[in-house]
Amino acid sequence: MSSIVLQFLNGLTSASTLFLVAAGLSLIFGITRVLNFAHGSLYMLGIYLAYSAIGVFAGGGGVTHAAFWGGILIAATVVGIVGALLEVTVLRRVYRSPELFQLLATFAVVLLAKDLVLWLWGPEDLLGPRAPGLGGAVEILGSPFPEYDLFLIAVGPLILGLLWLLLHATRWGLLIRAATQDREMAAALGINQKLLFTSAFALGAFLAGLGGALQIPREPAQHFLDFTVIVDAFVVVVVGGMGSIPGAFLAALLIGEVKALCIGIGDVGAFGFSISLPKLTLVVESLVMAAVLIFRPWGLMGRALAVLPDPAGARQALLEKSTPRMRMAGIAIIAGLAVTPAFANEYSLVLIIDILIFALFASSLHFLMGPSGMASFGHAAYFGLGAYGAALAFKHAGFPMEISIVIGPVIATIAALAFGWFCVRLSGVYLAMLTLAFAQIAWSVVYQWDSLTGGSNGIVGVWPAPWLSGRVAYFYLVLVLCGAAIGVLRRIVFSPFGYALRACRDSPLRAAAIGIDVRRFQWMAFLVAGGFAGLAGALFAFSKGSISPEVLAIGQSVDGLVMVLLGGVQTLSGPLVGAAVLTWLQELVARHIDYWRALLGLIIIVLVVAFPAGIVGQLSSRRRTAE
Amino acid sequence: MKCLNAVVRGMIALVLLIAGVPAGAQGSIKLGELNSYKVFPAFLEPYKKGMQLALEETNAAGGVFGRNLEIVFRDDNGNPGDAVRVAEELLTRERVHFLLGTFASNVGLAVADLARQRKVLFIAAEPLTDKITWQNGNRYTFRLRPSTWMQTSMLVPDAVKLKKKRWAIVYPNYEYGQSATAAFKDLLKKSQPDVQFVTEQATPLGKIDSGAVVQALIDAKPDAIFSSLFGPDLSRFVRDGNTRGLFKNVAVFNLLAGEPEYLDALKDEAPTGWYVTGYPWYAINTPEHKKFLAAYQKRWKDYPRAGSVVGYATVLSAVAVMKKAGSLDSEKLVAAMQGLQVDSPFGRITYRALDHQATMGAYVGRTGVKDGKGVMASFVYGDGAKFQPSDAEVRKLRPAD
Amino acid sequence: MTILRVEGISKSYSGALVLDDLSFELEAGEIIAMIGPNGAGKTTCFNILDGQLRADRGQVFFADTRISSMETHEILRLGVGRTFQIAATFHSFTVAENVQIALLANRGLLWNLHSAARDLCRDEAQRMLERLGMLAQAAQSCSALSYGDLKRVELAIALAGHPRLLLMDEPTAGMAPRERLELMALVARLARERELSVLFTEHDMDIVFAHADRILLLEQGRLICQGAPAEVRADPRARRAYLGHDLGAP
Repeated sequence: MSSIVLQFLNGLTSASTLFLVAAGLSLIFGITRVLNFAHGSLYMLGIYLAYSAIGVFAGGGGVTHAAFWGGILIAATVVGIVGALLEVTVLRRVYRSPELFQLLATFAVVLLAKDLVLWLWGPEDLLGPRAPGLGGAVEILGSPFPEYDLFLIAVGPLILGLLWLLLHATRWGLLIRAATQDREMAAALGINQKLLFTSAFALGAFLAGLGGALQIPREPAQHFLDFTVIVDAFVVVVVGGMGSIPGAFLAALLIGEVKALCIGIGDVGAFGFSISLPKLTLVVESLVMAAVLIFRPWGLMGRALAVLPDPAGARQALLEKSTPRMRMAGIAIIAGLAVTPAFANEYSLVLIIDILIFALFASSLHFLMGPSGMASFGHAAYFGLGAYGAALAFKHAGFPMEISIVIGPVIATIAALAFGWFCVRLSGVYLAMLTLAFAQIAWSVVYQWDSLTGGSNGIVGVWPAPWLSGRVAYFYLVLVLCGAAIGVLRRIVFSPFGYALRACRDSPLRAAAIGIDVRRFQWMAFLVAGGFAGLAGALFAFSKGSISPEVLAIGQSVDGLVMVLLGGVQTLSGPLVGAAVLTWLQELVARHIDYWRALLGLIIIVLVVAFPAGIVGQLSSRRRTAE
Repeated sequence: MKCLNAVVRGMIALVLLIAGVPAGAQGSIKLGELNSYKVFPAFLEPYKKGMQLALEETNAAGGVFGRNLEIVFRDDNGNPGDAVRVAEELLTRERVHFLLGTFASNVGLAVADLARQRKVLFIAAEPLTDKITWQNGNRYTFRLRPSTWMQTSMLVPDAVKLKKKRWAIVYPNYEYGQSATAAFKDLLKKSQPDVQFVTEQATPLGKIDSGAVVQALIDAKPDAIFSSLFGPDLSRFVRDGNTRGLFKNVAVFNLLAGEPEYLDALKDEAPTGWYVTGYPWYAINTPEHKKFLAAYQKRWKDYPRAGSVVGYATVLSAVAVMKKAGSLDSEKLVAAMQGLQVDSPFGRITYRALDHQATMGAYVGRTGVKDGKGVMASFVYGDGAKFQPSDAEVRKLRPAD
Repeated sequence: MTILRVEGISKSYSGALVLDDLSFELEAGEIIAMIGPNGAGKTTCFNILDGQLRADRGQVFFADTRISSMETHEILRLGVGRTFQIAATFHSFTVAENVQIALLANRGLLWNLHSAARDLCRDEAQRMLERLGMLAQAAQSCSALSYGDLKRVELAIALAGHPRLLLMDEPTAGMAPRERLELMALVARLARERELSVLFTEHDMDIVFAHADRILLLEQGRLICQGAPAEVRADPRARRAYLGHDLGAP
């Protein structure tokens, strides 16, 4: 009994922690509609700054109350200021860009922050001091329970209360709520939007910084925090209902408690099977998110989001009907690639193989995001399952490579059918997050199913058949298959099926009113996108000779998103350009500069500001204006 | 906008300029080193320093075959896909003679298999996975650092001596933690058949929910704990365990926790009396280590970590094998690696012909706190040659070349 | 022949009754206007008819097929066309393509993954646009049209499926007065030619009395009177409901 109570309290502690980060994220999203991918970085910055500030205030002596709490407050404030600067210098320039484009800018900030932290604080984990006066434990039901954890349990509801007061009892809060519900209306009322956005961003960042700083006595400052925190925070925000702060609190509570109970209950035996619940903590967030979203498509306390009016020109037609000049350029590029082996060194082929495979991967994601209007944050699932499908068919089932490369996409297609069936019942960010949940669940299965998938180590020895094993031969295989696949995808976009998908995106209401079964078409879009991503994955597996769960991890999905957004969502050649630019840049920068992530981040920020509709998107709209 | 365009153009120009710079001096012998420098910097910055030290010493002593030795460093982004591409780049563009490095097990295995496919020597420096020398072992791959199984088995004799009955286990939920746990349970059961494992907590890597995990361990009322946590997970586990009194009257065994990379982060909260494997650089009195320590501190104004020794010994191994083979031909190098002897800071080590594992060991001992810092208070050197399964077992595990 | 039969549908939102036991019928070729003050339940009724909403009680039949539990796209495939209060078109396409998509949908040709869509049903779309006086704008992008033209495009889309019943929710809202009359005159002409039944809501009583064969008057979710324009005009209940509104001179 006592153990259940204590685990419940542990759940409350982690819920408070989760809530603090998520509240800021939810606030920012509610007002600016920006998915702040850099929120985890702000949290990480908070904990590092708190570590240093407390150290400076303590000045080598003992950590006094003033030093500790002053340090935390300073850290959170500085992070708030950083947030405001971020909003003013970068995000403000891209509010009018197409949906999700801001994600790209915040992703660049993540890269920058990672290297900045490494440069400023060095590589080692920094474990901060215990809180003065709260360093010990109190007896609860005969077990010692950390005082600081009790303090944190109180902080969560306290912040919730303060935020509620701020939003409901101040003029600023009124404006914020007005802007959350109807941005255009707020603008029409003459509210200074710029100031409102900046202040909301600063407050959100402050909360993230505070969430990080308050963890100082509980966990060391380290470089992975940004990534581990951001995914959890997104999950909490979405499960709670985007923009709803009480919802975020409820979601944090749910996730914190489920996790604590999984750990507390331990192994469970039923029907002769033994299930290790602690192992589930690897994906418990995703499982909770999938379960909640399937039954409550807008999260626990969310409401259907008002559709934002399209920013000017953001959703122009995919009118890139190939002009003769473009067709010539396309033919020239393919011809150029086809003769590359004759003069380029072998490494160029290796790099081009990577670029072609990612171009196909990005194109398949773009098929969902662009013409079908469904953003996916978990597209790596199909890429990865395609890779694993091919590798398993080859290594375990003993199929020849030529057949395995077909089995991969088939497996990916099946997964896309299963996941897509649930996802098309949602829309917008909720849909995107459900794809992420499924991808994470798929990842965790691959990661844990050691006997089949090789667990975290993956599968090695996945090499092409002898006649294709040379770099040149494999290059041609990839060129032909990726080229053909991208061509087919392009053709589908201009086919009646592609038109129907675009119609469903433009106006689901109108589409249904001419007899289109919107969900069914969108479901099939998942199938097409999943299948082609799977082909990319299968080709990837055989080009590397080995695969491990990274191929279906979040990082892979994020890479795909970055490629699509970088190129421009509204164009068909955008993902190709995005894939080429990102892969090439990363390879080049990483080869020459130690702080390559920072440089890559900077380059992306410059690209984002210079091309607020994506590279190709911007170029083609410029061309249109010129004509 | 114009100004921005100029920036973009400038940046592109800069990038092209960098790309155009020819790599490498003429006439030197090039080796390719790839590692996850940005993903695991705490371990790999000291590692790189160790490598650079050995490289400088080698070249000061005349290089190899009278030629300068050059190591081309590359970041593999902690991702096997990128690692394979980087390895290909090293092989085809930089024309390195063989490959060194890698940290994460999955990256190590991927590069090992590439080495087999491309028929080049690969000295895997850091990856711990047993598979790289056993199930997935291949002719071209050799591993320096003591494996998960070896380090686990170094802790087992002490565990057996204590005759504790109720064991709790906590491990990071991926291959390293799983293998360590499986090996420990297996070895302990063999010596002590009545042992009970009362709970097993598999925690997500880097995301341990330490409060709940510590509470679950307390509730299981163990006599002893076997942990393979490291890094931030270990720090959180220790702090929560201290606060909640988990470690009172419980014997704790923790793989790797004596390595300065992990122990130092705990400062004065470092646990006392834990059984750990690690690297007590401050107290190793062998002449070969003293020499290494002095050189390292002189060069870097910093003390070495476990990674420093691994990096240093990796380069020494590379030099030794070239000298022994008298050639840069892959097949001759591979032949020379079998049974190669290298004088490392831990003494003479041998690359076993049987499974390509080096006999480099680790220090096994108990932790304590000295001057507000965690240390290994008492320790012995666990010679890697002694902590191996029988040859017959290894042969069963390892496919023929 | 009865084309639409509504039998006692009711709908409430969080306790508030929006539609209360509404019944009416629509004969083939008939044009019916549904009028009533804002909040009378007209749009809710339309949304139940086309399957976007489920009625709490009651049933709807379209040409003897029970449609009250069918999905929107299924109902509309049976031969129902619909236009919305705020014109809904496919804004990333040209005017002609909008109609082509509707034609393709009607013929079940949208599952084609390889032909170039813009070459299919092209002539027919042009003919349809010609009928509606939109041929000049055929190649324009929908996002560049005036609102009145957008309404015409929507009508073209709705008619492309050769519906037997057309549901029009405030077809002339937001249009200039002259445009309104033209548009409804066009609808009425098409309805006569094609034996098309039309159910529409409208606030402009000139249009209602000019084109409706019959009028349904809704107030607070209840049908308070129905009949030919002259009857409704004379009905005191109608006068009461539209207090302050001009029902036009008798």
